[in-house]
Amino acid sequence: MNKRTKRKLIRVAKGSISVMLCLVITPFLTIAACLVEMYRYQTVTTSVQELVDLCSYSALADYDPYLLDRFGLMALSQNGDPSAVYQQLMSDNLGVLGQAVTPGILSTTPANPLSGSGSDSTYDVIRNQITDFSETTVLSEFAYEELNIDELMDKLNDLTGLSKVAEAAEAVAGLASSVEALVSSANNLITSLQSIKDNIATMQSNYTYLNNNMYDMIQDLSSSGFELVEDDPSTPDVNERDVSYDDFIYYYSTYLDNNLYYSNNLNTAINNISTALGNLPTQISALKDAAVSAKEAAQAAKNKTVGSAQADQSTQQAADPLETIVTAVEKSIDKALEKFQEQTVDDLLSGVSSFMSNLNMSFYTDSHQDIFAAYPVPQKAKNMINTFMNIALSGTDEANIRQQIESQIYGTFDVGVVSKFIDEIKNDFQATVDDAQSNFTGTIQSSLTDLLNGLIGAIQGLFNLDGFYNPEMNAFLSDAVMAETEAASNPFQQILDSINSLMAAATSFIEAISGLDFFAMLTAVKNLFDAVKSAISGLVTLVNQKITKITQVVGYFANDDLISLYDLFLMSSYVTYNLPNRTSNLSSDSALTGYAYSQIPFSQYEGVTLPVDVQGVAAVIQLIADMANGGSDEMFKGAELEYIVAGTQSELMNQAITFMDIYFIRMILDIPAVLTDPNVTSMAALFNIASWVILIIVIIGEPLVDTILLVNGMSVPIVKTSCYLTPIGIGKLLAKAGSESPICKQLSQSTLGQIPVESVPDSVPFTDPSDFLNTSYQTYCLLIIMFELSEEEILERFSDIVQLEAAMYYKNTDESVFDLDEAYTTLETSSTFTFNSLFNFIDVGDSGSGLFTKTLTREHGY
Amino acid sequence: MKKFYSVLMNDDGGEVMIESTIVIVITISLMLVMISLGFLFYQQAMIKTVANEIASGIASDYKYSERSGSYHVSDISYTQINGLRRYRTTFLVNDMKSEYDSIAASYVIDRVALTNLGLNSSDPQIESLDIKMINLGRMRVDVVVSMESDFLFSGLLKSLDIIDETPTFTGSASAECMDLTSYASTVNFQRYIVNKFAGEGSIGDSIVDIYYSVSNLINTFFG
Repeated sequence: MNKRTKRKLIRVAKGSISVMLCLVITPFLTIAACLVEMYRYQTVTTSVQELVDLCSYSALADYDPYLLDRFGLMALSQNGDPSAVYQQLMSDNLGVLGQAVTPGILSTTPANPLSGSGSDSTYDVIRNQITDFSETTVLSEFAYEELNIDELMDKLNDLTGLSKVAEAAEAVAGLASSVEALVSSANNLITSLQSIKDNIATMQSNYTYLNNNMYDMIQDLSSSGFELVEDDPSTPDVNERDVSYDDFIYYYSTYLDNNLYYSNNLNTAINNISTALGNLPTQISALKDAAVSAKEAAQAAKNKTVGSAQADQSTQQAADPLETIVTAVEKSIDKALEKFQEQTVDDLLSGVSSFMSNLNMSFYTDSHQDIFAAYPVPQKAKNMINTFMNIALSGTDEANIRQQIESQIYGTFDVGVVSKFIDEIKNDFQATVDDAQSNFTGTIQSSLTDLLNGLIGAIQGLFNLDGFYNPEMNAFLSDAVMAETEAASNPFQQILDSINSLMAAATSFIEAISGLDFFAMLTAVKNLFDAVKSAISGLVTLVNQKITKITQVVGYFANDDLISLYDLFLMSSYVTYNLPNRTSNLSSDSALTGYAYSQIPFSQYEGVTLPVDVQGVAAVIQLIADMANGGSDEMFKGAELEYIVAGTQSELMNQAITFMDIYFIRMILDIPAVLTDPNVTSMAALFNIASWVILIIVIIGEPLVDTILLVNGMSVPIVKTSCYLTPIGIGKLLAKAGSESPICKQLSQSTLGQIPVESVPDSVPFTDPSDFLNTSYQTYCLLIIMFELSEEEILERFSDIVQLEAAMYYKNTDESVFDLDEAYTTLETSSTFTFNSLFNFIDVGDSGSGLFTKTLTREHGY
Repeated sequence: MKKFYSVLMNDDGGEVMIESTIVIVITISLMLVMISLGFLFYQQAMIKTVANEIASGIASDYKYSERSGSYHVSDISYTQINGLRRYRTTFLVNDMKSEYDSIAASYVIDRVALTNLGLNSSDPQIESLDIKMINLGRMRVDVVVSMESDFLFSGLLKSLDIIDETPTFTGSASAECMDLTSYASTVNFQRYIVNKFAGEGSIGDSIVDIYYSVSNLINTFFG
């Protein structure tokens, strides 16, 4: 372009406005365009974010139905492809935005499997899902199952058949108390009588002393200047007889001081006997009432327990401890009452009353007071001296004088007759009471010897029962499905060994006592002490093992960390109520989630009985050792809760360990009941030197009975007030377990349990009104899980159960594979999209990384 | 004079100046109106977006008590999992609401500051935030956000009486809470109650006892 053209263009004004408008408007338009693009961008971004959320949740909708239905857990199905679902949904829905956005890379990454654990804790995912699920249903189940005590108590009122047994048992217990009270009262009475007799003897000797002294004093007074006036003895004049007042006071004071102590003792003794005799009619009346009540109760108990349907010849002839005791007591009472009639008591009371009224005790006290109060008033002394002088002058011989002195002191009562009367009564009654006491004690003691032998035999027999395990549930998981379980060891080995030793030593001890073999008894005592020491050592070891978790639970309280404690409760309860155990009815019961146990793909039953060559506790030890053998099962056969408790591959071992765990808890809980049950303590007390053997045997046996009841689906109160292993308690046991139950059949073979009974409905709940919190096998498992297992152990074992069940379910359903490590609970999505602007010049970056290209990363979970 | 008018009429000098003055003034005025309207709509859209974000954020993440400082839990770690809220759909809804009142009030200020093109006369506020049970085991979040803001050329709109002297922008949003485990648990609980009630017949009274037992237990732990 030449210069001329340039100048022309510059000078030409036309079109300059357009140029100016362009320059002015362009910035405005640019701003407006930017605002439009920003608005569009923001709208699209919001839409895409919502789209990502919706598509992510849609992908999560493909959950694992078995985990939800069976366990209430939520995880992605392992048969689906969440990534494909997500990509398809995103692509389809992004089309709604038209050309505004172009999708880029859409990817998903499942994360947080149910088995997932953080660095500081264990099984975080499954634990939180469990507590999430449990917060309402578990609490309701717990309240429904464990806290309906009133309902249970109401049912008990309807059990009229059982109430008769209870009344009989209570009547016998009342009878024993009455006899005990009678013996106690009788001993008190005998003591009082002996005291009276002793005091009377003292009084008699003192009387002689008194009589002599009185006579001597009068003689001294006479000889000291006083002369008897023979012509007018009725009007002695003291002034004429030159008596020394001081001498009189001296003599008389000495006399009183020497005798007042004994007279007071006599008074006390008489009061004692009066009180004792006054109580006697009441005691006799109470005894009669107790005897009548006991007889009626015993008859009712006999009527209840001796059933014609089951009473064959052998059982009819069998000794009935209850009846034997009642009969023996009846005889003793009748014998005592025969010799100790009320009329005899009335006569005795009348005699004593007469003695008391005739006793002129005031002679001492009043005279004594008068003398000293009057001194030195002459007239009082004169009167007293006149009295004595009249005595001295009234008779001509010594016997006459002494008789007057006696009459002044005792009136007309013959103390010798009273003493003799009391002596006869005392001796007679002593003999009667001794006889009754001996009869009663001897009978009881004889029964107790049988009882103790029966106890030992019964407990040994109970250890032979299949209570330790259900033989049908005998799966032993293969290493392929359960590789990382604990060794199948028995943590209760030492305690079982100790119990075995205790039982053997107790048997030897009884044999030694029966045979009066002193040295054998010493050996048995030593063995008993050794076994007790070993058992205590075993208990301490066991407590040390368990104390860690208990300390942790206590720590929750100490640190005010109630939330953790609450979570632990929820988790433990969820596991307990959601898994079947050996007491579950697998054909009709269901889990907390409503899932029927019958739908769980358990291994098929193949009930076996392990060979047992030995008996009793030793058999149990051998059985548990045999359970450690390997196996090839892929699933348990129903005892899943026991796996949570014990955690071994052997289903039998798990049951046995759970049994022993409950037995251990029951032993601790039963010790107060054993030591406070009057039936046990009275048995033990009457057994004299072997009383503590009884206590030890019952402490071993009582929790065993409780545990066997529990594993057979019955309930046992957490706090018991009475024991089953007594002649009275066995009535309760029969009512509770039913005569056909294995435990009652076993006990009926021992002396303790030879009480033939009518057929009692099975599984009838029975408890004392004072018992507390009747609980089931399931509840004890809950306690063990909560207070003995660590959170890691609970979750690890529960995860194993989930893995086993789900794997078996999918294997049977469609032959697919389930892996808990791939049961993901969250889905992370990464979505790249490009915003297509209306004015492309704004997008200054490269495709995929420019200003309008954005990658959204979100994670959603159940 | 006649000559002057003739020259004035026939001389086109300055014509462009006059014409351009008229056109430019009108054009720019129109553009300013359009731009200010653009700001107005932008601010409105932004506040609506913020309300949406708050509602959807609460709805999708409310079950996690640990938020790691961010409003959205975009990465569910074990910290979040271990911080799952207990009784979030029942007893602790009010506690949760008061917590979110505070979180949302803080968030709305930070969030508006990021994309705001106006000049706020005061901090944006959460007018209302409600978390309601809309069905069995299902909850909904309702949020209303407001902001008083001036923007570029707003005076033009004020002079035309299109907006108030102090324009107030209000955005509302609702979102349904996505809490699948809680929903499943609630449904299972209803099934459990119905089964107990209908299955055994005599448990009707016990249901009330169970309810009170549960309530007492929860009150014990959570006041």
